[in-house]
Amino acid sequence: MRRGALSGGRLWALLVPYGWLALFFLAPLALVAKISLSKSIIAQPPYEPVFNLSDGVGAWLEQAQKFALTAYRGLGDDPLYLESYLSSLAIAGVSTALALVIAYPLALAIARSDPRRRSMLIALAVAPFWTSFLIRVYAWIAILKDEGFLNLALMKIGLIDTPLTIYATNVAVVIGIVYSYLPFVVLPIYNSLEKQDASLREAAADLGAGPLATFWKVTLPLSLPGVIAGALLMFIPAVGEFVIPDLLGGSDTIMIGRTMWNDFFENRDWPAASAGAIVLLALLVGPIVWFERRQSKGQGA
Amino acid sequence: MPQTPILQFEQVSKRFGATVAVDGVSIEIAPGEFFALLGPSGCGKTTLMRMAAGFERPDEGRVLIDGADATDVPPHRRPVNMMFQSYALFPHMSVADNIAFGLKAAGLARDAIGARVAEMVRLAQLQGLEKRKPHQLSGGQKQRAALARALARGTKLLLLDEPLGALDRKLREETQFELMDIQKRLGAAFVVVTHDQDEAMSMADRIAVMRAGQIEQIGSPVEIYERPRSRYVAEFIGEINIFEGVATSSGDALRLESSEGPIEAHAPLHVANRTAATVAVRPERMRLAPAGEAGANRLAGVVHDFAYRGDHRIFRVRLKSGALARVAAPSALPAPQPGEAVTVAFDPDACVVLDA
Repeated sequence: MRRGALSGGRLWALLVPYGWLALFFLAPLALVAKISLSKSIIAQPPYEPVFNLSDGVGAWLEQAQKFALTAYRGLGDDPLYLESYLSSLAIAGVSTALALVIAYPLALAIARSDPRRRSMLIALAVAPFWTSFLIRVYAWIAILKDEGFLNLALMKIGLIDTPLTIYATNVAVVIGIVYSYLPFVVLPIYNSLEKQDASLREAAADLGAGPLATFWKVTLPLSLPGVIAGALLMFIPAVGEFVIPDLLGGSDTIMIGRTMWNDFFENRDWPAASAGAIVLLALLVGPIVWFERRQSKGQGA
Repeated sequence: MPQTPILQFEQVSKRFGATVAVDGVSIEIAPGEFFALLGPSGCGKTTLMRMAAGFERPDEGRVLIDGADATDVPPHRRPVNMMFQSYALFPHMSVADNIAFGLKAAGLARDAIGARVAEMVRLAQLQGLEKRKPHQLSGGQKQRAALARALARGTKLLLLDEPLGALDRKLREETQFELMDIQKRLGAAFVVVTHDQDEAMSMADRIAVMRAGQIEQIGSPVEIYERPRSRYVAEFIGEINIFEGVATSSGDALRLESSEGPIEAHAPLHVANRTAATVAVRPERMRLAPAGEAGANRLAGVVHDFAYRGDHRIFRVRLKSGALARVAAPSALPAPQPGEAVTVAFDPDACVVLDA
């Protein structure tokens, strides 16, 4: 496409999404970034900006050297933050891997089902969204707690004698995250499988590949964009997940969302929490950029 | 002893819901034969081919490959390869990997695969394109890559679904000759599905003309063209003039009283006296004579228009009844102009008596 003067209509069409992003993404982000570079004080609001627009560039640089990065240095000194990041990445990673293992066969079954039934099956896959997220997470407490449905059922059929402690552990958090985010993983995988040309599978069979070989060599590689999209769609929000670990996790469940919440509301250290948010964002931008590159480079791959 | 057919359909039928796609078809295809399944879309030719490949199971009848019943053999165990209409090249694999796919599935050793791929690349003239992905190939290159992949396993039976359908006209003609050349060199039987009569006529040893799930006629291109059995076949292949009337036959001579005048033909024995009959004449078997010639097979008319086709012209001549006859005449002859009165003349030999 030629770059040049945009016609009035095109300009407006671009202005709407960019305006939206600027207002609801860029502005809050800038605010958080500003707080993260501020000093923590006991006041309302509990921070003092280090930078003021009126000070000029020279004053900014001076201030930057003195205070600005205090909050970020604090993150490095605070083992809680490091532990939170690692634990969040681990919990989100394990959850995403489990979700992929469950979602892929589900998506495959839907994609290979009778075309007339597909939209109904997809509707069923997203049906949990029709109930409040919070209620569904609370429901998991009733299932997973010591005298919950799961333990009662397992004891009834004689698999266990004493209740399993699942509620208030990381296992419960993982179960909750997998359950909550599963539709986000199923949909993109289904989408890429459903688009696949059936004649490719026929060609593989025709060339002597059995059903299993056809899956590994043709179906799975061609659905990878869907798998990656689904994984990112789940992994990124799961890292910052707050509600599920708060409700299902125990006191030893440390996730970054909770740590930041503590800093904001318990310690009233807004700069530290903001710095934590900015670092988390930086950590997550990497995989997104990598995926975008891959998408635009590997047309048809 | 007759040769075992490489592919045999035995009273094969296939229904999809209420529609009968293939209806009691029996065909035998000899090893090394170039066979064309010809018919309009929806005539069942593709379904028939997919039953040979194993993608559809016949509701009735059997499919035999090289004498062995293959009706219930899954596609990946059949000694058959297919070139798909869409080519179905694996988009995530290079040309070389596409060609190697069937060889890897067969469990060949690595260097054997490499050698075979190189051979196929040469055969299909894909040198220098081995590392390209399908989306980096032109239409003709894709077609050749698909052919190379289908040929790589060296099966004695290759199925080609509209192999030239996606190519432009000039490339199509070149590729026809290439396909014939490759088929002769490899000695494998090729079964081509096509709706293009020119394609079938120029490539195939034998053609099966299909209509509504049934075989209308099987024969060599010459037989199909010169001696079509039915009006359907006659009209499907090439241009033809049809005359209807009441027949009187004596011995092998038939005289048709048509609305254009009397037409004499050599009659097959089965045409009964005083029955309705149809006679067909190809445009190139007719000539334009000066107006006023009379007699049998001399039809008076007026030139309506003509189309120049390079080596010949196709004249449309308005006959007595108002019907338009098509007459081909060499361009070297002087052309009568539209409005000029002429006589359309042809020999009894040129007439084909049709079944219906």
